[in-house]
Amino acid sequence: MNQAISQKVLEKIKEEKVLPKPKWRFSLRRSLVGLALLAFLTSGSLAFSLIVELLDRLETGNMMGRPNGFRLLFAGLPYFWFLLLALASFLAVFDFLRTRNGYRYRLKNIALVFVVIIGSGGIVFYTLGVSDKMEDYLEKKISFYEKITRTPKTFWLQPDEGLLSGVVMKSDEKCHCLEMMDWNREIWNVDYSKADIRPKVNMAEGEAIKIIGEELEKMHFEAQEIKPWMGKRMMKIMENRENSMEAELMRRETRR
Amino acid sequence: MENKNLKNKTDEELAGLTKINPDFYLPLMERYEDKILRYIRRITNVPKETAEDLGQEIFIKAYENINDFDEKLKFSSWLYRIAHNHVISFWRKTKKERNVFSWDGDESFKNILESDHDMVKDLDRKITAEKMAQVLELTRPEYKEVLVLKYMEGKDYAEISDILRKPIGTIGTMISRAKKDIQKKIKKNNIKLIP
Repeated sequence: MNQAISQKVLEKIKEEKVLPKPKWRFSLRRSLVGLALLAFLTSGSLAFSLIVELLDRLETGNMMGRPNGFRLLFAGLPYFWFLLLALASFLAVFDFLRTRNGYRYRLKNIALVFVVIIGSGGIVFYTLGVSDKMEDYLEKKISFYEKITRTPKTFWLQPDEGLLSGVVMKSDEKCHCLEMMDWNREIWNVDYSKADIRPKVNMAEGEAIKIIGEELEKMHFEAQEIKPWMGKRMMKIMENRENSMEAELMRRETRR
Repeated sequence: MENKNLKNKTDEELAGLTKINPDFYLPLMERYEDKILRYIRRITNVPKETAEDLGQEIFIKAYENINDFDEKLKFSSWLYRIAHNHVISFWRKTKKERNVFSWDGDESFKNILESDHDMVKDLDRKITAEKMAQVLELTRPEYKEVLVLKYMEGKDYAEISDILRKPIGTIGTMISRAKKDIQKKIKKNNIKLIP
């Protein structure tokens, strides 16, 4: 073999003043890969926490055992967050493989560890209320959010699927019927003579409720089950919010 | 530089010194020059001159990236990895066929089949390297490369894992599949191994 190659390379290095790339460039690249990994895992955890949050808020568990229950359950799944969860997980795995020693691990092992990390992170975010605050923020501030994912209002307003919700306008106990305005400001006549009414339901004017039943004809609905608009979970959220508002007011009072 | 002192230095020590002074790179290159050129020719179909050009580019690339050398790795694994990546990008740029094996007359290919006791049952141990080279042309380029690294370059699984950036388990699976693939191809194409 040609022994002159080494000499040629050395001459070229000296003539063309080739220099080794500085160490900081490699360190920076490695740090960016590490930061990206952290960002993907955090995003995945947030997406997972929002999935849990939404499933909890939508009370999709109520759909089980009902006609079309599975279809409704699938229709209510927050696909947008599932998609982001899948994307973040994929990018995290791909990014990990680009780390210095990432190639040493089998793909299925990396995926398994990341599922555990993202799942645990998601539960932590959910428990700490991060997902709750994020969901509220997105619903309020992002105008198209309701179009890309189901919110409790959009999920519980599918009359053709037997789901109706809104605010009671008038209730008549004699005829077991009420008038209610849904979230799109449409007025409905609801017959609840055959309905199972949950104990915490308040059908006074201005109270929000949600109904499972059947759309009989245009703007006429037969209720099978009536539930308070805010389930246990939503009530807890509201209580926490009221408490924090109260605390804030007290803090302001004290400052004065 | 005193050659005697440098001969006693390990590759990794020389790589460390190269970061300070390029003259220390010369003995390091001399140690690997033949090996890298042979490796390039074994996994590509390029003529000797092109292999030498590629070899020069690989050594310059290695020098430019010397500050990224992971001291937990063997220097040879790191250099072979650069060579592997450089050859792949050369293939991509030139769109050269990868599946033509360059046989340079060495007989080490016999090791590939002889290493597997189950496999040699049906095969004549007197198979020529030239015949083996023909057989290897039938297999996939990634299988061919892993076999070249294992049986011709004499690398162990951990080193191949570091060179190809794949888990050790995957390397084992690849080698086993490559051998089975060769066996199938020999039967399918009715290749007679006895000259």
